[in-house]
Amino acid sequence: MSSPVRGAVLECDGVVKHYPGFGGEVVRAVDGVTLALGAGEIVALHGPSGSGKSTLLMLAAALMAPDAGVVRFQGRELTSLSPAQAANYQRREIGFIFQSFHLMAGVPAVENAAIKLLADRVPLKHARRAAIPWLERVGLAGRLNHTPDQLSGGERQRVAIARALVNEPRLILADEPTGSLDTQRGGEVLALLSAIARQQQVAVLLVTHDPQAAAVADRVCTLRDGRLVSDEPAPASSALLRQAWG
Amino acid sequence: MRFSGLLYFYGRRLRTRPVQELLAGVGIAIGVALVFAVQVANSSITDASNAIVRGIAGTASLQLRARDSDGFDEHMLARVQRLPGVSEAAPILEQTASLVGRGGRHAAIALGSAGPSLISLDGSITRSISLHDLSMPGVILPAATARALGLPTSPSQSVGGHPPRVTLQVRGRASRVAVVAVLGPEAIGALSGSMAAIAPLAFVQRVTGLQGRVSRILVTTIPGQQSSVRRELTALAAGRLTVAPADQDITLLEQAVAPNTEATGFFVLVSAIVGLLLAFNAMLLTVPERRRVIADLRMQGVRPWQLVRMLLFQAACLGVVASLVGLAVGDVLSRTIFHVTPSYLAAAFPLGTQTVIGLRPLLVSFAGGVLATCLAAAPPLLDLRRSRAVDAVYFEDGEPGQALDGRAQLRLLLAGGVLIVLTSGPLIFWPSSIVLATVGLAVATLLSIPFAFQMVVRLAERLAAYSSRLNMLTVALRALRATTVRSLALAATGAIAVFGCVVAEDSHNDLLHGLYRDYSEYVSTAEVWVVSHGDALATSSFPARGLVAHVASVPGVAGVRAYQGGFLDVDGRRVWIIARAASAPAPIPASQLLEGDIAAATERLRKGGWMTVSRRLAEVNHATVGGTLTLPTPSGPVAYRIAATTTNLGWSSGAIILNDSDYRRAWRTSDASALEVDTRPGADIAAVKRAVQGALGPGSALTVQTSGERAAQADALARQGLSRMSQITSLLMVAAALAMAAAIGAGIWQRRSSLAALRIHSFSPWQLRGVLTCESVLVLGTGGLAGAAAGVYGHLLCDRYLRLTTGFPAPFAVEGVHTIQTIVLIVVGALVVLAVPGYVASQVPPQLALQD
Repeated sequence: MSSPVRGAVLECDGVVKHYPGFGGEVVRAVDGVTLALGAGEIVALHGPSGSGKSTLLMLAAALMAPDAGVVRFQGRELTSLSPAQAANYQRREIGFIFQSFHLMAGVPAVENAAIKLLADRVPLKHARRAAIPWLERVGLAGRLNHTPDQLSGGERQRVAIARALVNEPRLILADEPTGSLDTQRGGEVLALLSAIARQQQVAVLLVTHDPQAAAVADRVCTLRDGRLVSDEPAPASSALLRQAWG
Repeated sequence: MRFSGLLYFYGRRLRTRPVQELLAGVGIAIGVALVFAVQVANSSITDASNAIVRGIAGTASLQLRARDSDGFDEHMLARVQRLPGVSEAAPILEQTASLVGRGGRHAAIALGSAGPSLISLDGSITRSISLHDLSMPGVILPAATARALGLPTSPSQSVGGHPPRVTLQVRGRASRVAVVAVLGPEAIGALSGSMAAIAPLAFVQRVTGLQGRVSRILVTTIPGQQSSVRRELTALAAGRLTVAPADQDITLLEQAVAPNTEATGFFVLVSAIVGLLLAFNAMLLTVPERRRVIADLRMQGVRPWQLVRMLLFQAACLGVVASLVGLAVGDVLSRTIFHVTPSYLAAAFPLGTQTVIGLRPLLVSFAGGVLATCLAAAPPLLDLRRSRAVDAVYFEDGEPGQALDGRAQLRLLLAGGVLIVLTSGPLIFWPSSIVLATVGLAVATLLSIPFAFQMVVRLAERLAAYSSRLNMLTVALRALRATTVRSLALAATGAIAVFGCVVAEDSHNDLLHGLYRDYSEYVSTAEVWVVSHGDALATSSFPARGLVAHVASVPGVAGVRAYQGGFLDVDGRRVWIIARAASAPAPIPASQLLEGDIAAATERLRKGGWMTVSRRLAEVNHATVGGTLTLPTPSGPVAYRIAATTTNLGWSSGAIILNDSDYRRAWRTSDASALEVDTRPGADIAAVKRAVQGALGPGSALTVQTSGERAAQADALARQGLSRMSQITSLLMVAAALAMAAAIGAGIWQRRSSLAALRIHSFSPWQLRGVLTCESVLVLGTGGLAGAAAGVYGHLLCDRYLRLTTGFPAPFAVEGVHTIQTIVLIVVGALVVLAVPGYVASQVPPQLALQD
């Protein structure tokens, strides 16, 4: 096991995670993955279904512990965290974006964006105040009080991005953020995520099937059967696109 | 879509959503069970009595009936038999009596006696009694009576060899009699469940001291001759006997139990609404999934009417199965918990104890269950509108019509208010329009729920703003917005359950308080009473000649008055007659007086020629205080003036109080139905009671009670008679709490994915439990408060109905503690049931949020 990579926000070092499968078989969901993300860096994680992408996200979020290997956040091993420290890590350091948004129906955008601050005992008034700049930042300044059913799919995902950023995390974990959107809206959401990541110097681990993701990523990693089969810089064409969008 | 296609889609649904379907089925089954059980229990009283009356009367269509328990001369039989058009005539002598069996076990019974001619009427009951048994000097017991006396009951047979003996107490006499046969349901059907005894006519005449007397003669007429026979019988009766249909007792019983039937009918209504809401709640859980299926199928070209057929087919399948289960559960309930035969009626009517399931309750409950399921399954059909075809795909988070804006809430509230005014207004003029008022109030309660819910949410929001410690309440309030329709439906269920429980239980308590006060006052005229065993109303008469003087000589006794009473059929009602001595200190219970002056009425009663009547009885005869009312007495019609009107004194058909001299003259009897014993000042009442009992001797069929014991006995009888109301209330509370808990629990389970998302947003399981608890308390509390408010008003209406329409004494009293108890019981009950699914849901693994 190697020593921490200097400047890395998230670092996976030989991480292994197994699940019991049918008939006593062992499913090697993540099998010796080594990966590092720096501040402001976007890494797109590709791979077919069942390749271990979501498991890697959960390991990064300290929602599960690896069977072997080490996951580090800013040089600190996540496996050594107590449950309270893990909750603190999730609350303060990471932001999550889901494919299906997970917004509360009937609740205004501003309160949906502020919801995770409530778990940290921030009064609602302050939480709303904290969420407004982020909603403005994602282009929803005029839709603060719109409920999810009054927003388009792309707008909903923007609310989810604002929610992920409201605690000013160092790391964003995005699970198929464009999975429920059409190509144009997906592209817009990715561009927005990319721009914010760079401006705020947030590391983004982007699990996706979307080929557009390569356009905004700095690196594209591919998982297959739990193994990292490639970890390459994004193509040059993508860099141009990135410049254009970013 | 073919039938096989419908089956395929339903099979697929059952495989993928078995828990949802099960929950929906449970909700519907609970509603059907409640409605069915209450209806069956209600109708069983009259249906069982009907079976007995018709089973004895057989082919007889008319009867000549005595107006008192002394009966009339049996020679009348020969004159009846000689009337043209009469094919059969059978005499019966009936008395209320007691039997004492093994170990001193007492059973109050109806003693019926007849000769072989009764068997010739070919009644379904009497045809099974053998001529041999009916000629033996002893009693034939139905199985239920034998069981109560500790005698062997099966197999049904004549008891040969050395028959067991029991003590028969009747008309103040006690005799040892043989049990010649015990008959079960296979022999005498409905009668086997009755508390009764059958014996040969001559035998009963001898043991009762009523030699040569009969109570009635059942008459079978030649076809087409009924009218002429009736005229002949009327002439023969000469105004001193009653000519009536052979099954007149059923009509009189139906009249007597009408208030009870109406009161429990109210429960049927509440149960039906709760059942419908439970079904609606349960079906709401399936709405998102059904909407998605509709959208999928529409996009694949399935036509709207085919989807309607599919949804209705699925709803009908669920409705049929759940309703059948509900009927089975309801059947068990009606035979166990709700199976109460009101003993207070036994003194006046032949009562059966068996449960009789009629076709009407069966069909009403079943059809209601299926219809409610179809109605509850309808919301997804909104997506069939042209503009909503793929809403389920693009707006999958919500439910159709989930948001009600403030204006709509206000409109609904106003509509509720108007409905209350419109439906309870008529009560001022027509107190019997209670059912309309109750339905209006129940619907108004439902209409007020959105507004009440909004108010509670606003209050809770203000509370939550006070401290960040209440952030979980804030999150809960946001979560409730996501499930508005479901939350409203749940709150409405709670509201209707609390409404029903508060109205029923509080009115029930008022009635019990009123009855207890009435009885306490009624028996307070003497410290000690001598009555036939178990005779709470003092209507079984016994020869008192000599007995008054004998008891008066007991040490500690200051004086003894003969009290007379019984039942008299007046204008289709079996009225309770109370005849009190002029020297009785307070012959009219002052608290029960409705019109008239107590002092003047008492003075007139003592003077004679005057009586008090229950107001309802006066009203149906268009009589007022100071006017006259003619009673069909055993000596013929006698007009009495009305000194005052009273409540019904606890007897639903009404009561009359008159002077004992008037009674003796009109009834032509000096027999008493009780002795009122005054004790000397300073005498120990318990010691006097023991001394009187001793003076009566061990062989006496009479029992001695203090006035307190008599009041307690009457109170116990009233509680037993009204116990079904309490039982239904309790069951309603349990069912509502369970069903709401199940619906909330299932809703929580469906939301596990969003709960998992909250966990990823670093909400701890403890915080999630806080959110879920706050949500549940808000929903249940809103329903409880709305239901309680409506319940207090409904209680007021119900008491008015009880006092004005039924004539029962029911002083209104708000029972705040009980109302709060009801809300707390339902809310806490539901929360306790919810604790397990809530705990499990709060432990949801966060990764679940990534798995959709």
